[in-house]
Amino acid sequence: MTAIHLRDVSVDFPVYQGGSRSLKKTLMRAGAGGRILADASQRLVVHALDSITLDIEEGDRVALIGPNGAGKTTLLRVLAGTYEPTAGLIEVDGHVAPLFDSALGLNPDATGYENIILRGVYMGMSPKSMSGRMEEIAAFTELGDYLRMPIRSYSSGMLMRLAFGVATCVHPEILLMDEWLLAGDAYFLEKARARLASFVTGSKILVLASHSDLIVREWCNKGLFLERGQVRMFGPIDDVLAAYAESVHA
Amino acid sequence: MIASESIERPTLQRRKTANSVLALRDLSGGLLRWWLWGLVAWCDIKQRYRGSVLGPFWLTLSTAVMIGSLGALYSRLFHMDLATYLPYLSLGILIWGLISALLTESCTAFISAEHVIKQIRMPLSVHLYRVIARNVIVFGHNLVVFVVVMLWFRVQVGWADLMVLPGVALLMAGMVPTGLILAAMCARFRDIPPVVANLLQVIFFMTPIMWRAELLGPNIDLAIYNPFNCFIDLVRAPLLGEWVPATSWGVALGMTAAAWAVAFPFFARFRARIAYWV
Repeated sequence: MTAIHLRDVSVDFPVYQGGSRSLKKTLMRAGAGGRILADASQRLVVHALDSITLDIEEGDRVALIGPNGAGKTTLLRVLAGTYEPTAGLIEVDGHVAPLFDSALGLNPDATGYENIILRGVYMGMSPKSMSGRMEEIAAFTELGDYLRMPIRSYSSGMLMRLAFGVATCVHPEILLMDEWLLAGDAYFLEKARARLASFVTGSKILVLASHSDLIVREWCNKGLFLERGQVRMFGPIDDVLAAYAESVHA
Repeated sequence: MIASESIERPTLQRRKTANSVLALRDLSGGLLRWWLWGLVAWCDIKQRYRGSVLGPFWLTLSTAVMIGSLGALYSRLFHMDLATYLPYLSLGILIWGLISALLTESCTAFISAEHVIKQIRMPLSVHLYRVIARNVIVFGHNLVVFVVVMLWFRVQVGWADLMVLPGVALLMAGMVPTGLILAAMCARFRDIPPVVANLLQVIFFMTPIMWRAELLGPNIDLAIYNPFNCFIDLVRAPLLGEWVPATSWGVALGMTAAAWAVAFPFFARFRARIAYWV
């Protein structure tokens, strides 16, 4: 069964300032013992997530809500498995597809067709299975002969079409999205919406970080209100949005 | 904390998997994704030479020019017969090129894959294997130079040449842990890459590549126990129709074992932190 469980998950983020990136300073600190240690601790640590306990079950479409720096992106990366928590336990059952950056794995000098394969391979597909989906993706992007050209020559909207087409052809059980789907012309946006609708129904869990009330209400049934790395509230979307609005205006 | 506190939560039974198991899974799982790093490495090469007529054979050409001119000069300096010196020199330079490129590019293996590491979960070793695959492809292109030299000077081909296969295998087995340490250390300490580049320049002249070990006379041990020379020997000697000296095998095996002994615990300890470092 598809589910995500987090128990007291914390992420401490070291911020390496100029000095602590340097091998020389670190070695000197080790050699000189405790004296320099006090003032050499330029290692700032940010508590990006602070004991998050959370259960997301099948069918949940969760919106991550919160001010900038609340830990939304960090939480998404923890769910994607790229950041391993510094403390706590995380259990993710299901195939995860992160859609954070539309340009991920794209090679500007390669043609559209090559990039479709490249991007798919980064998402964990084999080149062979990507070739099988090529026609479907090409049809979706409606880029036609442009697919034979290097994507360096694409406009950002065209790039988005390509990235979106590839990203949604992998049918994941858990879909993680950052707010990046909002570029593109009205026609494409409508098309993307339809595609996303079938995509989202196919995946069992959706976690979406967004600042747009509209998008959040349309796609999500639950809200997770994060503040300074802590869960302020987790529950039905309308309640959470109301609480968030209240905290903003308070 | 409104809705979340009231529910009683089941405790998670799963215990944390040991770091060494995770590290082992990373290394083997990465290897299994050969289609990923193979394809990306191939794209790296294509991107470098897109739009040029000769493509990757520019590499071959520039290597050929270097070997040809160095060969002509140094065979006179060292009073050596071009027919024996040039095959020796060309192989030495080709293998050195592979080793030094692997070491330099390993330094940026994780740093340059930053955006992937932060977005998609995949074994970290994939990024190292990509660097290795890319440079093996380059080496393959450069090998054309040696084939030409071999045909020109009619270097004998025999069964002993097959000893090159275990030699290359050991070279790779030694490069993976070394690259792993470099890639991880460089993600954390950004001033290591220039140090590595500098050292490599010195080592190139200290290692019998342009000169023969015998020229050292009584100090020949300096070359025999030089690990770089030993690794080069593993590939060079068989292709020149010689047997690889036992010391070269011994030193190379020892260095490989030592590199793993350092790299594996290091990787196991810090693997999870690398995403935060890059």
